[in-house]
Amino acid sequence: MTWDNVITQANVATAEAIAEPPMDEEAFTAFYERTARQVWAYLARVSGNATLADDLLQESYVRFLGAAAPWRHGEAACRSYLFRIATNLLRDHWRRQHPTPLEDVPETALPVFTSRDSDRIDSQSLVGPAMARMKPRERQLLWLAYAEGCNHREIAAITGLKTPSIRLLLFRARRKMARLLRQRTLALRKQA
Amino acid sequence: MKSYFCAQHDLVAATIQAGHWPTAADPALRAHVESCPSCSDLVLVAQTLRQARTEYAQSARLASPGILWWRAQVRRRNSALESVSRPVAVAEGVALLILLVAVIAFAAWQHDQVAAWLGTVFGPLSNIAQIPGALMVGLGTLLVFGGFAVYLLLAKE
Repeated sequence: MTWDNVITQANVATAEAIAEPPMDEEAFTAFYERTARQVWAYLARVSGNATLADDLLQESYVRFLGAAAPWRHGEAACRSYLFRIATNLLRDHWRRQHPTPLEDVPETALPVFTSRDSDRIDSQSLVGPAMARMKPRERQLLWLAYAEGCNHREIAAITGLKTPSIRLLLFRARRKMARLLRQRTLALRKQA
Repeated sequence: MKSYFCAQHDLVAATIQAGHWPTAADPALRAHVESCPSCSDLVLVAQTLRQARTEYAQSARLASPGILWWRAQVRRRNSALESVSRPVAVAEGVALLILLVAVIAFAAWQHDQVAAWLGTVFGPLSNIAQIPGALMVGLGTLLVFGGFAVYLLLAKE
């Protein structure tokens, strides 16, 4: 490696790094306003922690802007990329907190979504208590498939799972969730 | 092998995602859902989560996009500075290593003169010339590379 090479590489790196990102601020603001609430809901629901969701949401967008986001491939690709960043941040957070892999964590060890307006929301919709008894992976799959409307390929890209396995995993999670929702509905009716 | 999946599953899912369930759905499909446990689960879960998504999204307290944009810019610039300074730091380290090796080689080659010179500068250490040359080189190498390792650690921090 010659000094000329070193200097050339440094100049290229500088030019690339200092160059404006492909998305300008106005476009980012519009994209953020269209997507941030959905990403926050996903983070809050899967993590069970609204404050953590606030932090991870901000970090997700900062990383999105810092990375080579697929802006030229359209908003759907960017949205999927953003969800993938959010999912990775959730996974990293969970690894720092617990040595157990996400898939092996028992439901009872997971936090219940309790903060801010969530009590009111959960009591209205029944989702909170049912989701609190699901594993993080099940929460992810159900939320992405049915709240966000992602197809199996998109879910695989976001979660890192293999596409063929999504169908069976979703089936099991859906059946469990439906059973919990029905139990919760019956319990509320008895209380009433 | 037991079949878990209903043939109507994808159609029911698409109808829900399109917002056509239940009012704009095909009556035959609605009748199927009432009799199919798998599709019934699908409708219950999908509708509940879609509704929850709207409610949760409204409760989000979002940071200003301008602040996030600014944070991303600061991080990009810091990353750029780091990537520029990295080759310079490597070149510095290599140059220092070469210099140290040259000093050790010179000391080994001119052992007698160096020892005599040290004896004139540091009187009490004049018997340094009696130390075997190989031991001198070994100690010098240890000292120099130890110092270099300390320098690298400090530079990294």
